[in-house]
Amino acid sequence: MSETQQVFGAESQDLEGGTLSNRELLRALLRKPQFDICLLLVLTFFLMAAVPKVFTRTDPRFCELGKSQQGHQPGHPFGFDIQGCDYFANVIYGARPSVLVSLVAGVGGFLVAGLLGLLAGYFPGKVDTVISRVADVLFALPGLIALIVILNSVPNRSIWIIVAIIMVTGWPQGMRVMRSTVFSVRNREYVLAARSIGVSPVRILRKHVFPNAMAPLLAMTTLGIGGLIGLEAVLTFLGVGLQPPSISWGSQFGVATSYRETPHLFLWPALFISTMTISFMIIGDSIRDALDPKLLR
Amino acid sequence: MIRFILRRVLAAIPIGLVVTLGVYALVFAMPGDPLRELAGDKPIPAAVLAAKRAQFHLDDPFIVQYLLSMKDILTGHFGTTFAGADIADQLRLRIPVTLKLATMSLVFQWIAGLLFGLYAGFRRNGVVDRMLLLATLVVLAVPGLVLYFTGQYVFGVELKWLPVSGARDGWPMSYLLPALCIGISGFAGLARLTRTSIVDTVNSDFVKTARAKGLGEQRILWRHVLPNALLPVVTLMGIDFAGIFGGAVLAESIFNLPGLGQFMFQAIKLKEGGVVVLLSTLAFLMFIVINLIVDIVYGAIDPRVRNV
Amino acid sequence: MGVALGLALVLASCGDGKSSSGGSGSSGSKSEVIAVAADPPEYINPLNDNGTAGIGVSMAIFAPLVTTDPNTGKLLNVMADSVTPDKTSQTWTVKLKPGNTFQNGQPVTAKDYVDSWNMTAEGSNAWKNNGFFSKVDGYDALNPPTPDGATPKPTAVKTLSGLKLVDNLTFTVKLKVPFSQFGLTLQYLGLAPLPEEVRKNPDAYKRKPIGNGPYKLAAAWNAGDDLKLAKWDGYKASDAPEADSITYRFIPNADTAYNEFLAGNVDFTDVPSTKVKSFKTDAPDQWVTSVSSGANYLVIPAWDPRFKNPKLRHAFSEAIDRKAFADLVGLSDPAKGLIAPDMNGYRADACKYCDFDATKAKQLLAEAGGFSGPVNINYSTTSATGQIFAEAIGNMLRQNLGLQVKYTGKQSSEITELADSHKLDGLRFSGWGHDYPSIEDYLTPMFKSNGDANFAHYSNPALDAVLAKGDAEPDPDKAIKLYQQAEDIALEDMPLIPLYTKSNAYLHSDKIEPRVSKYVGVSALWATFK
Repeated sequence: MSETQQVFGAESQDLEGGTLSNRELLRALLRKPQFDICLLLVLTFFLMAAVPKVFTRTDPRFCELGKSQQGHQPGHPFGFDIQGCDYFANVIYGARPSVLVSLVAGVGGFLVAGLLGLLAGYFPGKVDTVISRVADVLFALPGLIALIVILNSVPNRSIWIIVAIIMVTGWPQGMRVMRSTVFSVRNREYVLAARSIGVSPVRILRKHVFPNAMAPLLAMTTLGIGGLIGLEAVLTFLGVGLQPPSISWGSQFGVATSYRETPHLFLWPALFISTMTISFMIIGDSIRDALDPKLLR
Repeated sequence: MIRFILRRVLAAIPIGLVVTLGVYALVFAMPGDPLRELAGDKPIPAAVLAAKRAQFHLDDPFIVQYLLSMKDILTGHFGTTFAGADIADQLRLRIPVTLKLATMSLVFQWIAGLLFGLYAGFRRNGVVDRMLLLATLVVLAVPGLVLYFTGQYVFGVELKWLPVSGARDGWPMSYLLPALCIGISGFAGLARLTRTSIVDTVNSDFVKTARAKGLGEQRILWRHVLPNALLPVVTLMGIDFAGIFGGAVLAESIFNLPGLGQFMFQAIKLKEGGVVVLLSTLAFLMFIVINLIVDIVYGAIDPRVRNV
Repeated sequence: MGVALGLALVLASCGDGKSSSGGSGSSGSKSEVIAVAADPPEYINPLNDNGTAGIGVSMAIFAPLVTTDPNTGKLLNVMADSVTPDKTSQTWTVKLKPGNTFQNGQPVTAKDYVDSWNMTAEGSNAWKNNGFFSKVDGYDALNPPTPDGATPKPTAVKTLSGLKLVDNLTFTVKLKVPFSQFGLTLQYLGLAPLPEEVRKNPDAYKRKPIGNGPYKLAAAWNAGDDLKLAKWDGYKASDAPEADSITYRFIPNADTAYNEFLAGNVDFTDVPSTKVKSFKTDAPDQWVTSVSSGANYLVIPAWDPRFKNPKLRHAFSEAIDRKAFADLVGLSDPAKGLIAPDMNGYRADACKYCDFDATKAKQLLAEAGGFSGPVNINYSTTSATGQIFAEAIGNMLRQNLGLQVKYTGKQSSEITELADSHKLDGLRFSGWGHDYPSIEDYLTPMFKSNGDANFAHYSNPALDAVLAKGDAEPDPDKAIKLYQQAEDIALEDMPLIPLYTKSNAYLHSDKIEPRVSKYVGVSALWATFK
């Protein structure tokens, strides 16, 4: 291919809608069975988080301590938790904070890290210096430690504070990964070509750099969603997790680790968390494949 | 190159100051009285409390406490912890432990992550790829605490292949089990990132072009695919390295290794600003060095990014 | 996003490897390895230590004046030849046995005791057992009040006026007020003497203690090392333990210590709270339990007017199903009194309001005029079980009394600080274990106005008066009757709601049999060898 052909190739791909319109994208996605199943699962979890009453009519906060840790019984498929409350209802009600953490911190973190990484990678020099040095500051402050300190200081630990701290302290990692992929994409022929024919930087970033550079960050994000719920469990273990009467998978995990002789306490939330995580992962992979102009041809 | 390094080192100084000040402020802002925490349920006489507060400058204003701590760090007079431990002794004990644990677990993590990731990337949807997905799932579904204890129970208590805990058996025996645990917990992330990055690169235009030009597969792999695919991978490896130096708090606790992570955790619990800042400074130095190396490696892998 | 990946510690699995771990690492005929589930102490100085771990290892290296006979519960002399009160129990004469020496060869004299105690009593030294001497005449001169934020200056006075040297082996202790239990308090190991060379420069001997007890350091003890002790042949008291050598291994994570035991690497360990339901099957025939030592309570904030009415406190008390709660805690019994059951003077049915009765509880609450707003339950985030216990209590109050409940988790030091300044909102947990085996050591610290551990900031002049009478009563049985009256008053006012008393369980290897005593609990130090 000669230089000119490349230029034309790059621009024509853009002009001919090499990246799909939203409707086409959705159609392409829905054609994949694994995407459909995972989407259904994720939607179920969202519904669980929004209206848990649809799934269970048992009051998760009605507890008889005498039944603590008992196994499953008629009407109580998951048995009882440490407080003698119905565990099925508790696992259902536990979806809300966990879904919120994973979704808000995951998506929010992806956007923040993606945007900053894009800027840092594409504009080496002042922009990169500012973003990278700020990231250095946050990096040097170990994330878990910041969480412990801040959560110990706030009067009321809510899910939103946990989400906010995760976003503030967590973006530098994703930013650095994004920045590194942008480095390698920035000098590719089609970007150089687009730049040489005077395409605006915003358009280049949106149409050429971002779609080609976001895959590793997306992989990291979808994988991290499960980790975020695990993080909440660690916070509970370290004594700075959500407080009762909040019900969450993370605190169920935290409690289960203290009572390892009752495996069902750990089994059920673990099953829900891994199902949700794997669904996110597969959805992420599918979206990536669908968005990726390289895989279209 | 030397100018580049020098510039980064100079830039690190103000960042270091911001970091130490920030960390100190965070610890300072934490509620709770350290001396009371140390005493547990036991009552402390007022006179003793006052004497201890004076010894550790706890009644001075924030900025004075910070400056005193920084002076101690810069002059190397670390003093003792609230519990009476000699901090210099603790560092001599703990830094080697953390370094041994960190390097060993990183070696496991990197080898497993790169091997699995590269293989799964080149043979997408093959057996290894699917196993990787499964492994990721397991790692994600089972909390670390449970698996650390399970590993300890199976390999230490039941099979007696490895020491249960402690650093008494020295390197490498004492570190194998915790390092393997940390390594496996981290390898899945690295492997998936590597896989994605490889898949992405293999399907990109320039590789297709190279193939169309009739270049040999080996040459495409080494000259085109790897340099481009490895940039995010190297980044994540650097991030892991920096993070692990801060200490694997849980692994150190469960395997009873006297490392920096435990020291840090204790210091935070007791609001020992001086110790927390000292350890953060160490972690920060490590981080700056690693980041520098990562950026230099970028240049080595892909000459086009050398201008950063 | 990335944060979860960086936090690799969230996720883990384990690989394999090859090798065998060493045995118990012990040598010699009678040696044992004792796991201590605590951070290693940074120094050994019984006078400057009041933690369980530090005092525990000090017990091997130092010897107390007197001790409790594990078989009879009577007081036995160790370093002391006699401890005698005067008629009013205000001045006590301590005579030492002749011929005892420190491990550096110097004789143990009355001067060693007096000087060591004076050092500890001086507030500016900030030694942890300073508070013990607050009962002694002259304490205030060594501990002048310091304004907030000021550095306490070393005082001009260096000695307690209440301590008088009589001769080489005799000294007297004059107390501020008569105290019939003082003889019992002298068994506290935190009163052990330091030899002169250590007193001159305590910092130089932080990690190489010179004691007067049955064991001495067998090897240099550096940060991170096990503490290795060998029998010291200069120890002359009759209570010397059997072991020839002892290794203390510090494993802060109690679950890990438990696993080390199961692997056969240590001879003795505590059973952590997470294993109370499984230890009997994990280590059959290798466990012992102690009679409970200490009691646990729910603390009413006496400063909060909403909790003022005793009827309300009784309503809370009767809404709690103690049996179910004790089962949740494990190895525990419901508490129906304020004293631990192993104390002389304990009455199993002291509390009239401690039986679970939801109907009566509701009725009492109605009589008290109800409760406005949600009940806040504070729990310590430092302990793994704090939140679980708080939730269990909360559920019972919510379901049995129809109250609203909320929860606040904080570091325990912060809870204490808030409570001390009367700013803590709502209930919290507390526990107390005696320093010397007397029911007085429960009532005075927790219920006397301004007591050392008066969690509820409770004050009732009637109770103070009965306590003072008991303290002045030389006849032990009569004293106990008076103390029981004080307990009755406290139960009627109920500043603390009794919850449970907990026994401890321990695991031991087949090689040793720990000493189990109903009076002094379980001891690995005094284990017998098979």
